[in-house]
Amino acid sequence: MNPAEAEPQVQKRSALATCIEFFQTLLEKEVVDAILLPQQVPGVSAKGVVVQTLVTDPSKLEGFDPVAPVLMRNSASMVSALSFQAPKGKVAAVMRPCEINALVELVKFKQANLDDVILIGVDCPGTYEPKDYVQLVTVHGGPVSEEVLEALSEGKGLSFDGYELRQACRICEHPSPANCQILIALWGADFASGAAIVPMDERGREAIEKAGIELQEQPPARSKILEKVDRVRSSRGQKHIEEFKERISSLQGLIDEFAACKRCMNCREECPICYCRECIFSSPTFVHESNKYLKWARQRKIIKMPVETLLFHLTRLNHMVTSCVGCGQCSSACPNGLPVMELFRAIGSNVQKIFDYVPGRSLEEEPPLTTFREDELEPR
Amino acid sequence: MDNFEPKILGFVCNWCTYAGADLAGTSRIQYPPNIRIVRLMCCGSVDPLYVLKSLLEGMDGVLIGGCHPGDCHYTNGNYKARRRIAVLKSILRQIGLEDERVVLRWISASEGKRFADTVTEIVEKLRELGPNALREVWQI
Repeated sequence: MNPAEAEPQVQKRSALATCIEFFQTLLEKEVVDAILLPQQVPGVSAKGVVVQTLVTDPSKLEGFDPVAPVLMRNSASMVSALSFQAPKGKVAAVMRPCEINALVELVKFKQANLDDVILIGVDCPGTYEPKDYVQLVTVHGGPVSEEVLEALSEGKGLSFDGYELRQACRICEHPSPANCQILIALWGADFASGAAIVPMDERGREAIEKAGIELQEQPPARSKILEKVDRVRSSRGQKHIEEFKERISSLQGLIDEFAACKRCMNCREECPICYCRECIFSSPTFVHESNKYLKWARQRKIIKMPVETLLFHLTRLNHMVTSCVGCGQCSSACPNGLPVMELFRAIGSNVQKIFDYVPGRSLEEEPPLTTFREDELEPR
Repeated sequence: MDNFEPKILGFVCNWCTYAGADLAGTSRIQYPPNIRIVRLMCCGSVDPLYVLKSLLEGMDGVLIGGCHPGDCHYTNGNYKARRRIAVLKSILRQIGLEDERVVLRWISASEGKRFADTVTEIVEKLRELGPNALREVWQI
């Protein structure tokens, strides 16, 4: 490698180093008690995989990697766990756009409280399926964060040969976070001066000032790049979802798509919006008498086992499709590769339209099923 | 399908529609015997799951009956039911099921005639639509 190539690499490393220094000061000056952030896990089985960590010691931040293109779990549920009941500490959370969107929904369902939480949103290039990511870093011989930072800086999508982003990410319209206090702006960033840590509201400004870091602005190229990324992904998404809508527009189509469902309910487990402590599908309501199965089998001559797979998906749609943020963790969690994300986005877009509701858009808008208007819908 | 007798399941609230159904009976108003009634405290407590389960089990139609706007015993359960049923119907339409099989109707305790007319109307509609196709599907 010649020196001309080596130089920008050092700068890009400094992008993450700037963030780490900032987090260290947040902890040292006790602006927050802990930070929830993604870090690389060392170890043979982990192979550079990134998980969320909750850190209180400023010296335990070296593995920070907000751009590793993998999302093991939507961390909205973790912020919910950290903030839903008093007493609780002050926490900063480094999150991707879809994680913040899901968290906004959880706040409105009273499952999280952001009074003592500082949300640090990170620009997101998209993520790979965990197994693809593990393969990628194995072949690559280590984390790919530098390549990702470079792609973000130049405003390009990720293009590792032979690897495709998760379908949810390919059609995601949220490459940049909203509703956060602080933004780590990476799209179009010039990493010569480190990463841009930008305050997004008064609380963010206060935290940055307390940490004694210079206030920064968004990279000038950022908004243009975001417009372009949004345009590409939106049109791709519309096409993909429209095709799927067509496929499930007859009942047999839907049944065919979900023929392989074995109701393991992994999709529900990984869904950040499915917050019920006790899901009715795990309750005795769905423990049937032995006789019942035979009765059903006699009625229809043949039934699929386990039973009630379609009922499960249709019920989950009814319960939470109004708040689905399209993070796609459901599809990633499905052992049989069923298009759960597509189902929820396809049905969700029309259902959300009824109430002019966009999940994750605002903390002020009430989720449609928790409220009503007297003069709406039928019958009057 | 000349001898098709639609089966309807009715989820009706204790305070209005159930009393309305009762009045239809005590007033000896004739209506088709195709409906089976489940009494709940409020139509706002009808989980869409109940309606879906009924349809997947092969019920041809489902009636959800509640109090007129402003009359709900629990102030606003009927308004909440209206939103839930709107969501349910939208979902049914999108997966190619006839959303007309699900009917939400406000019927007060004094409207025995309206209850009878509603059941008659649903039965006629269901005769037009024919049997619920889900009754024959096994891969659900």
